[in-house]
Amino acid sequence: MTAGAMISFKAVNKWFGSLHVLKDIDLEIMAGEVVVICGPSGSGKSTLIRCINRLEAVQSGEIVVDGHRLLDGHLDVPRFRAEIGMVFQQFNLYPHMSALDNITLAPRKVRRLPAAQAAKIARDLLAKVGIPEKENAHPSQLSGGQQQRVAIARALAMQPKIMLFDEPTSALDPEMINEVLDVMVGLAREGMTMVVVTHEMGFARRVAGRIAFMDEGRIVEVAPPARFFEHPASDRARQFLSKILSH
Amino acid sequence: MKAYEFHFIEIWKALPYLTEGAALTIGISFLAMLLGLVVGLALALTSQGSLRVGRWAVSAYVEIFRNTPLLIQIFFIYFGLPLLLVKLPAFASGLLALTLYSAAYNAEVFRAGLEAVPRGQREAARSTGLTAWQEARHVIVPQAVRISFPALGNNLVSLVKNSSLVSAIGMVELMFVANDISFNNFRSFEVYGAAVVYYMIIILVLSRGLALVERRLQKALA
Amino acid sequence: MRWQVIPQSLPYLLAGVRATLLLSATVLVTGTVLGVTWGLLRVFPVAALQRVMTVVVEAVRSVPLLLQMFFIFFGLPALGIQTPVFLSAVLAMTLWMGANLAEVIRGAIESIPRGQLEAGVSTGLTYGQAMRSIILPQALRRMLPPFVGLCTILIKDTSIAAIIGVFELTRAAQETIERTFRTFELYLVVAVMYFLICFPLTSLSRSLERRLGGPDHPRAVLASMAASR
Repeated sequence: MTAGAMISFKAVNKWFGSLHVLKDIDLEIMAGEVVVICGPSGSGKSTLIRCINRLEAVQSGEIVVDGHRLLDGHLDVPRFRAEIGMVFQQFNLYPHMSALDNITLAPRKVRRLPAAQAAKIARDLLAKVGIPEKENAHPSQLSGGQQQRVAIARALAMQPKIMLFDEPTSALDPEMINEVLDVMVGLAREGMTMVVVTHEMGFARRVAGRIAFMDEGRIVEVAPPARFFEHPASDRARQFLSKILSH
Repeated sequence: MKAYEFHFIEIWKALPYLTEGAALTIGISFLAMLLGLVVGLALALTSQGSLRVGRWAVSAYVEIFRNTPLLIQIFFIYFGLPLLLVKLPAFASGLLALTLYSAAYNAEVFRAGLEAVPRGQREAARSTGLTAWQEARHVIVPQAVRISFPALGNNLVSLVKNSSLVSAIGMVELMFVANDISFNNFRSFEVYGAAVVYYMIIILVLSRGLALVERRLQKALA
Repeated sequence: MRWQVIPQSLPYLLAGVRATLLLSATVLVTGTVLGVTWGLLRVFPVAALQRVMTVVVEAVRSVPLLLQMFFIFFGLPALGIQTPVFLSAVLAMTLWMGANLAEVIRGAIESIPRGQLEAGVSTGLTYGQAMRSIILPQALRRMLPPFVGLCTILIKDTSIAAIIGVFELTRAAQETIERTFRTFELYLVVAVMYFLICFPLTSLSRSLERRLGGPDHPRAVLASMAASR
């Protein structure tokens, strides 16, 4: 594994039953790097990113994240996950709690912070994502874009070293996509290590260090955005780009 | 105290009768369900209809049958009605009670099923010139039935279990047979144990069968 | 019709009502304890345990309550266990309540979108913490309407205990009929009595369903009907 690599996949294979969903994945992501994973649906992008925080387990190969070997049976999974933040396509906010409580839950229960301290962190984060006035609102009272920003704040509350984004804007109405992307761009500029599964190529162009193109469970191509968009090396990447960039 | 000797041979001897009882249980349940489906659908359609009296009557019917014990309903029909109207034989009484009970629950399911058919279906049907009756018959009801299927299947399973209560008025089915045999040979443990196994098998097979049909319907619907 | 038999037998019937409520209350307590235990075991993420619990719950739900009572009262003495009628009825109904409540609990917990559990554990919460803070509070509210529904069915099913001789409302009616032969009037008034007890509970369950924002989409209502009988 290269020194300074935050996330490392080596010869990783995963099956869902008899379905081979990840095939011989080799990928390294350095600290502070922003990597965008894209590809047609069913290509395994979500599965790949969910392996990073062990929401999915793999059958063969090696995954090392922040020095932890994920196939190690002795891994303290909750503690490991506390160092990684994840943002989901469906937001997954807790509907019975206010925005503030959504964010403070983990700091209080996992890091055992006193309520007041956790609340301060939460308020700062809500301000950072641009909706400080919504701290007492319940998810049902927030728009999609606002919910996703609360979800990002919730993930950031644990001060993670890595942030994972699984199609964060795919469930949003078009006019709300930018408010979420802006937050993500801000995070990238602060030097956060990010792995983002998305179709938003504009975002990729702005902040991605590299783009990984996946198709049918394999990483077909990895290249910096300029090279990927101008001169895609593989036919499948070319096809994919022509489909999503044409409208 | 003399230890109980298990005479499992008694089960072997009772097998033909128990099997016959099981067949009767299945037959009675399916018959009551069939009749209960027809009546239930009629009730549901009435409750969606335009007559306020009709809606109220169906509501009252459903509430009465859902808030009183099935056993009391059975006793009322078999023991009580003779004082007022006519004495029905045990089989007819039991079947009638099970049908009316089942119809009440089926009506609820059909009502929810009718409401679950997307509004757009009615609009599409009307816009192509179908009358209300045609729309109901060809578009709404078939879809409602398909949507309602799992809940109806559950009602059938409940009905099979509830059918055991008709043994209390002397109607012959599995429970009655089990009682009859064990009261004669005193092998309660073995005979009731066998009856337990019979019911488990019936319901297991029924559940699997329903799940299979449900999957086929899902494919047809999708 | 000899309607005067009703006021004449009322005291005895009311004694039956008290016995019915006592039996129901007893089973409510024991059945809830068993149901909660089984329900939580059922969702505990250990595959072998879930398989065992599934078999147990499905087995109990596959046998008519009447047969369970008969088996416990008449059959268990074979194993040397003497169970008086009341206890037999309580045992059988406790098993019934436990199995059905376990299913209600499982349904409520599984109705909470999986993504919330994932979001919780992805912030470092353990499975237990996520269950306690995120899933259970929401599941509890969803369990309440079907739980009240189970209580209603419980009260109705106490009538089955009459068949093995337990004294409760149905038995009181039967005994009164043995003296007076007025089946029509007595079964009618007993039906009314059950109705007066059960209807408020049914209405409560429905209003709880509306208030706690249970499934309001018709398809979801059907799904819950399919799951909880």
